[in-house]
Amino acid sequence: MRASSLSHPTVRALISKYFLPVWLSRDQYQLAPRAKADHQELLRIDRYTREHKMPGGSVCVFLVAPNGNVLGSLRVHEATKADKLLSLLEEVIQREKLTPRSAEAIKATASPMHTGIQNPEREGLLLHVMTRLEERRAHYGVSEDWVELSASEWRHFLPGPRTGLGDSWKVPDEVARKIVQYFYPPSPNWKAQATTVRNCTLKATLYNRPRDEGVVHLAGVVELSHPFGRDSPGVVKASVVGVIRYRLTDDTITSFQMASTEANYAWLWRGKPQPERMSIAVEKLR
Amino acid sequence: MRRWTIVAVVAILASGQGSGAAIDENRLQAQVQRLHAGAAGGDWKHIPWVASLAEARRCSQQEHAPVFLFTHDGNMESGRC
Repeated sequence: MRASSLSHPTVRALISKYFLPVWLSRDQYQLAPRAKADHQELLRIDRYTREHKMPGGSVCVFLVAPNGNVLGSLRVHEATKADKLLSLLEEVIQREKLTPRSAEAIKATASPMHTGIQNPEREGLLLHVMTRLEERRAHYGVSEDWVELSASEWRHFLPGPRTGLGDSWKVPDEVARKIVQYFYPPSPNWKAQATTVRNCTLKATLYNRPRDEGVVHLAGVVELSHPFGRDSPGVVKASVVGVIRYRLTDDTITSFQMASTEANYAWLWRGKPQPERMSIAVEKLR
Repeated sequence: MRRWTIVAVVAILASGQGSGAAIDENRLQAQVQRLHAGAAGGDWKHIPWVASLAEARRCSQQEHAPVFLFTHDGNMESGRC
């Protein structure tokens, strides 16, 4: 829905002007546990739609009146169509004689997005992993995951005291896998638990050491299995490179960037491979 | 010719550059920035989402405006949905 009806300019404008918009993940994926008040209110709304024989379900739009009554609802297969969602919004706006919210009220209730690592470690390296499909499914947008490496983990990306220029070392599998497990594209099966890392080789090379900075180059290959849907097996094959910059005085990583030079995702649909080019990128957040 | 080779080797040593595989840093940065911009963008992110359902319901009663609630599985913000 985010790429379809929720990105439609008129739908967006009506939701923003007349309603208090909120999204809620049923499984709280990548999010902190749901607050009790949210949970109870969600149960109440689900119960209301069931008792009033209104459309409901886990992926659904609900328009809830100030008194708690549900004014209308649409299941995802309808709500994803901009014209269907638009007609529900317009009907409720007219029927309830809604007036636009003030700009001040909208500003006061808008909240920054809240996904990411909860309570990051002080000495941890926080990485942002992004992927996208580049062809038929480019409209799925960019997927995001966050990985935190502890100090003992991120130190494997830096050279040892006796490492010379041009020397290479292998990043331990358990460290590399923490990052590459998220190298699957946005798809109907979004769960990282569905991924199996089949192969991952990440080599680091001390490339440069000008003045007070060190530069490490990364190069590697990755192969993951990750289903497209529930029962459609898929495989990611990627070659990646990266550049890490660190301060020689205290071994602090100042920059970490990695990206695919070549990446493909192929999943099977009715036994036929559906290959698609994809891109992968990793950046340091903190 | 030999003189130029010696000059090149001395220049590399002086620069502190090793013999690891060269990486096109501009291309690498461009790809990271392109995906970063794609993650930050998305028209739906311009909707002034409220932080929680309880907060939306509380403000709804104060303002006499209804709530638009979208429930789903996964995480809409990160594209893992």
